[in-house]
Amino acid sequence: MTTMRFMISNKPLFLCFVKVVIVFFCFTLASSAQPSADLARLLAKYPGNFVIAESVTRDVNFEITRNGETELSFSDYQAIFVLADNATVLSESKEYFNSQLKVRELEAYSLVPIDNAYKKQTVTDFTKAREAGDGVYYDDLYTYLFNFPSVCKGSRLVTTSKTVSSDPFYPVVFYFGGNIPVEQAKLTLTFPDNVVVSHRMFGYDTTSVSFSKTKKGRYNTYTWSGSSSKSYLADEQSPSSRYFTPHVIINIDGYSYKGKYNKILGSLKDLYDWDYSKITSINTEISPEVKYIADSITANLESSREKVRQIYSWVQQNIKYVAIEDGDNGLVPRQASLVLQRRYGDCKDKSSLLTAMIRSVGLNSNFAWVGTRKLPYKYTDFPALSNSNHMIAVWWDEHNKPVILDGTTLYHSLGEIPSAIQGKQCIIEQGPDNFMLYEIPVSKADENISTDSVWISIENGLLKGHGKATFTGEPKSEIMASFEAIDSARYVNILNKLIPKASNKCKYTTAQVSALDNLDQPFTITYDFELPDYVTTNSGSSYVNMNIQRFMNDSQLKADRWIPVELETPFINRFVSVLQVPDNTAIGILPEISIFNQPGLNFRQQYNRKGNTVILTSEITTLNRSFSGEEISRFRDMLIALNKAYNKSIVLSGN
Amino acid sequence: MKRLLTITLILLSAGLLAQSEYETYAWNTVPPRNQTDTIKSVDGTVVLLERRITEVYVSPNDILEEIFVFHKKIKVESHQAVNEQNKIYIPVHNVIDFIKIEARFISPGGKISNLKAESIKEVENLENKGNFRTFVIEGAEVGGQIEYFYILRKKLNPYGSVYIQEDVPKGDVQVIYAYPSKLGFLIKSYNGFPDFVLSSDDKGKNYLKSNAGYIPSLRTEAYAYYKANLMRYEFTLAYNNYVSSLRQYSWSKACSNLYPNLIVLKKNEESAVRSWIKKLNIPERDLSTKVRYIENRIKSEISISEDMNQDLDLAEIIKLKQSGKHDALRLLLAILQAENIRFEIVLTSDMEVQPFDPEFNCFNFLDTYLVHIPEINAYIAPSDPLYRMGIIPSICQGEFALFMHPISYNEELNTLAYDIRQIPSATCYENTDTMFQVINVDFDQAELKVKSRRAFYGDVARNFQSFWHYTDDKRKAEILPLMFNMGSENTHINSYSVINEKPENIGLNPIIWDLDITASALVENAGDDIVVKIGETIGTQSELYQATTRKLPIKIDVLRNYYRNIVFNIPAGYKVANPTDLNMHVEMLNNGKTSCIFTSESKIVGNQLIIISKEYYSESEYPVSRYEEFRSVINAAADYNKKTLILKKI
Repeated sequence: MTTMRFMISNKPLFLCFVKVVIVFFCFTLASSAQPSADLARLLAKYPGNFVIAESVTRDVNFEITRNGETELSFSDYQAIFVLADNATVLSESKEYFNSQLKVRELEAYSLVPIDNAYKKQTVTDFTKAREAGDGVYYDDLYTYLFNFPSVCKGSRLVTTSKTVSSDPFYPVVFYFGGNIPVEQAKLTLTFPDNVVVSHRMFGYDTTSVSFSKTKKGRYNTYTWSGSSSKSYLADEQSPSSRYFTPHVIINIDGYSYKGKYNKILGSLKDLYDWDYSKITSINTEISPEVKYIADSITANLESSREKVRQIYSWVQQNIKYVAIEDGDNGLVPRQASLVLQRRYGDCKDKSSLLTAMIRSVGLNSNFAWVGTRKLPYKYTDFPALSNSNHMIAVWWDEHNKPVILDGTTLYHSLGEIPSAIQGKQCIIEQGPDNFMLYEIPVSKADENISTDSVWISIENGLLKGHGKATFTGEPKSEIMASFEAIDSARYVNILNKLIPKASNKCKYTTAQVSALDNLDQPFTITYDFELPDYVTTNSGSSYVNMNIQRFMNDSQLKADRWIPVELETPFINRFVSVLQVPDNTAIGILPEISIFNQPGLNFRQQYNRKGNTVILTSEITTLNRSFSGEEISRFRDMLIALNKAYNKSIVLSGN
Repeated sequence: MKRLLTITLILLSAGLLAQSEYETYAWNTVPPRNQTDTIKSVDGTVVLLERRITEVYVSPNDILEEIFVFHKKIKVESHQAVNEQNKIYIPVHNVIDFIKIEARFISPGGKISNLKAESIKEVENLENKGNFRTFVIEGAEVGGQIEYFYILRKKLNPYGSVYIQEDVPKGDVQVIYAYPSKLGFLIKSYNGFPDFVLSSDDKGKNYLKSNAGYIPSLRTEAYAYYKANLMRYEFTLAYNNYVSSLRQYSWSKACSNLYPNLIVLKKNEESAVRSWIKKLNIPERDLSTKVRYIENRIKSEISISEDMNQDLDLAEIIKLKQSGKHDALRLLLAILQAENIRFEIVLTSDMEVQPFDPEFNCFNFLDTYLVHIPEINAYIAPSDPLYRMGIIPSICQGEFALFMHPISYNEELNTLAYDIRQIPSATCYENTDTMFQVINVDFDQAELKVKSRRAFYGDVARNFQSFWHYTDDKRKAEILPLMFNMGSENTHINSYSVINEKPENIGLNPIIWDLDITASALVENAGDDIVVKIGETIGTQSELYQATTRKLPIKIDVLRNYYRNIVFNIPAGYKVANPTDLNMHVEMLNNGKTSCIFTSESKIVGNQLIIISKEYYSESEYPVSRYEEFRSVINAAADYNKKTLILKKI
């Protein structure tokens, strides 16, 4: 997925093993207490914590200058309080800055408890560095690296900064929690009477954040204040922390200047206008090169759908994905002809080429903006630049219905939509004045089916067999990518990871896969395998557990889990195990049928005897992809039921 | 470390300024030497040409500089290969001038797309690793060739190492060093990279050249030091007859460079160290206790950071409690000196990457510091807060090293004297993991209830003692089921206690855990019988089940010893049908002695099944030819995981 970064944000507080990674703040020192009293109080309040954020404060001022220019200024302050000995690991620190921010001041210092008073020791050395995020080739995000002096138990590590931005379109985003407890988080926004702002809280526990308004002269001040004793840390199979960390997003809707109201971003239409302004000069004419390539790959095709299928596939395969974050270049698609010539690009570039190629063969196609599932926002709830981080193309099909084309994926065919954008709203451009808000459908369970069937037998205590695994939808695209990257001789080496069996001693001896360039059919793997040391034999009896595949057996939900469970897609997972029983062998009692049936969650496992075979059929269906509140315990119950069903063996006794 | 050793080379008298031979390098300046058409790609990639040329010359300012040419051509046969190879980063470190950067893509049909100069970006201090120039290959498609070269004018890099081999195969690899004959370079090839051959021309220029027609791909393997086994070469400037006929960049030069840097203190430093020592209250106990105390105070109070670019003197370090890595060493040495504790400074390399070559006298392997206290024969890793005296980092154990100690000829003439010796290795018994476990079956819940006492010694303990104290309770709760897992599924730690978990215990005391565990996926119903997956209760063991052709010699980083004592209370009304299934004995002998072993023995005593399992690895290296024997011992432990008990109703 690619990135379009739109926000002026503090980062959620994040503490990893070796580094505290946080952002910028300003504030006068609140505490006049003695260090020993501070330490005692915080230790009592936050037992079991090594470090907490004592104060995270941001003061934002929006001002219209005399000549009518806008200026947002930020004062940030952050104090981390150290609660344990041997804390030197917290010394290394870094501050992140977006390229749209000008840094006016940056200060960091430690307040060190000496003789029961705080002594200030200031950081004097900052190193500027660039970072490349995951999979991003070039990123204009930059950091200042520094080391806090004298980090010890009871010390306070303070970072302050002053930054300005002249671009009022970027929303202010402020988090009231992170993955360490936050004693106090406060945001103020001060703006003159002639400015209109809008704001909205997101995440869980938003009632813990208080909001108040004050007015002084012609200036209004909005204050949000909160604290959080818990840490907001993403869990196994959970949505991104933005979904549950309380945070506020503020837009500057507009302002009056010399009797005229200037719109900034207060409505969906405003957002669209801003988005649209980035594409007005793109592909105003279709270049001959683009037309030539589109014509050549759709020659002899009659139907529109087949033409689009070819074009989509061609762009997926031939335009390499390279993410570049570079100021405004991070927001403006490149001309289709340039993308074609370079043969690489990010989501916007691929969308640019897709729309141009489809239009060049006489069909209708448009750009669309979307936020991936990492972002919890809906355009209809609160339109802001922080809602979008991705661009796609839309083809209007024979019935004038939008068909989503995400050029950044390699293994989704026409009509299949990457799970990362399913269920999200997108804004489809339709000229300077019109747009369409479209909710991208969530695929159904029966569109994402994984089936694994094995035919097994036991020879001299060794379980062996052959199998066939078939995948559609999202599982298909994930599995296909693994095979594309390696030589066919190594296929057997990756099956233990892709279709794991009940023992890590499983040995795959052969593996064949269906065509990697055929996205329109289910993907299949056929294989032979052995499972040594799997069957226990004793006194002529063999104990065999036919659950050779145990889907989700290592998934666990903690008893106190409150973060929703989030799956890629709804799915069906089927497993069929056919055991060939030798002649003259008695088959012991077969395990009873196991059924779990709750709204949205179904599991059924059944053993049958048919001639000389025992057949185990197992099917798990989840009709939803997100489970919250009461549903979390239901999901946990299903996992428990699954594991119970998996822990059943049958006994074969020779005569 | 290396920045302490590096000195700028300024020439006293210039030689003739020669015309650079390679400054005008172009696509076809040097003809290919080897046929590469037949080399098969691995995972879609094959390097058809890789050429490095370093041409050293005397600049108009009488400074040694170099023209560096790098030329590479890669055939890409899959999408993944294109994605991995199409982004090029050129490090700018020490670059005076970019003479040329050219890149192109040659399509399968022969169409050439050239990179435009404006597509090249500059990245400032990327990941704090210095500046880079970067570009993406344009027009790339599956089946074609990515080709690029660049010519840089750089400050002379007087020594270093270059890795040639990678996980993709290469054909036609060429390395050329060209330099005035008044200079002398030594270049040594490792792991089968062809030796360099010296030649001269009649214009006073020497050439050292090596070329290889085929270099196979090498992938990482378990129980191996991958990078140390890659083909590479080490180079050093050894003679510079413009200034002296003496050997340059030698161990003895290192000693004379290091003495003033490490041993000599400024006046204010001396007094700061003295007054800090007073505050430290170093106990008047035996030497070992004293040294441990000093080390512990430094590491628990002073942040030692690789990222510290600032040069602080010891007075500032003591005041601000922060230090770069080499200053942490200086501080330790200053205190040891002040306390009249005799020491040796030990300089070696990371054997995982670049094992110390005792036969190559150069700066190349002088990368990692230890401090040796001869009187108690103990080693300290002075700048690594994750270690304490008593545990030597595994990347140094058994390594050759430069051992240096201060000597004084007279008040004026002080230096470091050196010899080359081997750093000792810990035995497996020093790194022991013991398990005492009592297991009960809970039929109602189909679970195992386990009381477990684990004691970790040495490096096994250090793994936890180094970070447990700064882990929040929530994170601890996540880590514990992973550490004490009983199979990957559903291990619940009901309660636990731990002692000796703080870093001051590293190398001194074992960390001891008492755990109450429920394992909920290890009891299976099989008709009237019960199957207990007893093997999983020792935790998931590492395995080498995948049968592949082993290429790398075996290397165990930390030798370990395991002792497991498991008591299984047989449920009333049941008998264990297969106790002897648990008996295992897999052993590898070396010169008639046990080198590594896994055993398990079970016996029934009353209503208890008692299992004793021993496992140890006493030698850290084996050649590839012994792989199968070694593998069988590793896999024996993993095979034990598959063991089940059949409980039959009496």
